Amino acid sequence: MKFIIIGVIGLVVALVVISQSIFVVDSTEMAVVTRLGEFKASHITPGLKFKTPFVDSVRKFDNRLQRFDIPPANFITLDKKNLVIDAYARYRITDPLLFLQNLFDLNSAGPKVGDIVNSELKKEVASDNQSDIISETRQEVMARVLAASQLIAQTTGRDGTSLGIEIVDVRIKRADFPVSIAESVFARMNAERSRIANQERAEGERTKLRVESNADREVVEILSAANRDSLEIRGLAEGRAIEIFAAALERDPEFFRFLRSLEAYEVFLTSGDTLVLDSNAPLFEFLTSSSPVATTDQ
Amino acid sequence: MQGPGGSGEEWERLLRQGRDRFSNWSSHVGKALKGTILFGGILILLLLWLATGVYTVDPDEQALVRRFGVVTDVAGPGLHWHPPAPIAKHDIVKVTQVQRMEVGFRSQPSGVVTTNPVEALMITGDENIVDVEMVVLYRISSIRDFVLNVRDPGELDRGIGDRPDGRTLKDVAEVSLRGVIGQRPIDDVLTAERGIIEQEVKESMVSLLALYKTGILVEQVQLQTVRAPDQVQAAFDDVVSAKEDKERLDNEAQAYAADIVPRAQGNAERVLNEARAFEAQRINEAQGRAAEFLAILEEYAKAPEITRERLYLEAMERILPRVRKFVLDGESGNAPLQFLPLTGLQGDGSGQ
Repeated sequence: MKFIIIGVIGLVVALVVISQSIFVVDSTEMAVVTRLGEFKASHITPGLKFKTPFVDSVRKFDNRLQRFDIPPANFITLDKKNLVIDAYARYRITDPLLFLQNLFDLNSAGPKVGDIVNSELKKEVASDNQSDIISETRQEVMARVLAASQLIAQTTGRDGTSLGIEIVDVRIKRADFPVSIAESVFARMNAERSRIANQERAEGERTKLRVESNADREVVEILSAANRDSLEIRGLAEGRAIEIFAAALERDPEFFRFLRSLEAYEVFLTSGDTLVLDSNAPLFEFLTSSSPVATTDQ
Repeated sequence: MQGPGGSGEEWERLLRQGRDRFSNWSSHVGKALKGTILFGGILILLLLWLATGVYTVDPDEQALVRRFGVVTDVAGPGLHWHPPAPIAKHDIVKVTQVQRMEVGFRSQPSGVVTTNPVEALMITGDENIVDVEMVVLYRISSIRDFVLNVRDPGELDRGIGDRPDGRTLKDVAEVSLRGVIGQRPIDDVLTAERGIIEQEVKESMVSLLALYKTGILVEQVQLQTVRAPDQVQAAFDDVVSAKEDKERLDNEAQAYAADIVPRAQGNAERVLNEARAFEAQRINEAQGRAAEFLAILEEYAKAPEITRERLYLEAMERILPRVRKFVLDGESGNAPLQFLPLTGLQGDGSGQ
């Protein structure tokens, strides 16, 4: 029985000593070993690690990418406009000892990173126009803020060393107009839309007028050209008719006159007309004379 | 070092039991039996502990196994075992499933869709405000990166804990969407460039997620609603209707032109045809008359005197019956002495 009690006590002591002298550093962690407050070693790779039992203590740090959300705040741009900017920073611990010395833990590191990024962002925004931040050069703005923040993180530690972190990225998540000017933005948008709408309608009218007047002009052109050609055709036809006729009549103009006069008499002497005739006219030659032969001789 | 949950207590309880049994039965049973019971108990405890290292992986999952914090294995579907708790541990993640994240709106399982203006309203390149809602389809392409690289506060409203597809994915989606929208005038955003925007947002997300080594692969970005904010919606609608009006006016004008121009062309054809008809008629007539004259002339030339006389008399014959006639005596000057016929003065003269 004594053996068993001694054995159990021995086992417990052994377990305590073992648990005090080994520890695990996970893939998501780094660790610093201190002996009574004095730095002994830092472990940045994962695995099973050893330390002196009881006197050494271990601090572990998350080595994953950390996020710090910079709360939305009013920024004033170079052209004196207000923007509400919501940004975030991503950073990770690179050197656990420097991190421990400068920032202590992640709870205090986040706001510190936020301060660095925020002040760089304010500086940068103050030297850019609003449109630069909203549109084309937003990437460049963020790249400059990132570079400046990284420089600060690398040089502002104790004795000019790094803070033990690397700022991986800074992004402007949202850059919005302040609520107070949103209404005037909407008013401007409305005005712009009504300008576009008016322009569209006016252009529609213009097209309509142009197309219709074009059509009207075309109609007049077509009809007048047709009339012109028609008159020309008719004139030429008349001329040709005269020519044809004249060529025939020239063979005996006197006979034509005679023949045509007879035709004309028939036309213009219509019923009811009164004709006064001389009894000596050749027409009555045989009417008044008894001897047709003698008259013929006269 | 500590055993699996509750095993410390069990260990003590069993020790106590063993001691009790030993004191009760020590006078009755031999040392060998006591030793056997003790050894058997320890063996059972050891087996129970080892059994806690058994785990199963479903077909849509992978498991990342770490031994003393070091990644040793990525296990596929099936039944697996690793050394139990203090030595090794595993994380199981669904990797094949394409997951969905909503930006700018939230759809509840009940089907109710609510908009989220803070996410949805953003500034365009020409400093207008536009309402854009988007869906991101993604899956986990590297379980190692996904589990190990990013600390994320998660998003409780999407039921996501400390995983990179929580706030990190949301941040990346918003940055990318706003960055892309911020480079375009509102008209392009609202109309033409939807496909290009989706593509650029996806590319931007992919590069940021790679920078953060999240192990997330964006499969697809789908723009949902893209519209003007409520405050200016009416004005935007009016522009659309103005464009319709423009189209309508244009069509009306074309219709007018299409109506009158062919008619005018028809009328022109008619005028020309009438002229040509006149031409033919006139020339034919002239030719006919000329031929007639020449034919008459030919016969006339054979006996001009008598033909002339005959023609004259025939003409008179046709003319005189229908007119009133006064015949004056040629010798008596201009006095109308004799009338033939006398009755013709009263009547119309022609028929009598």
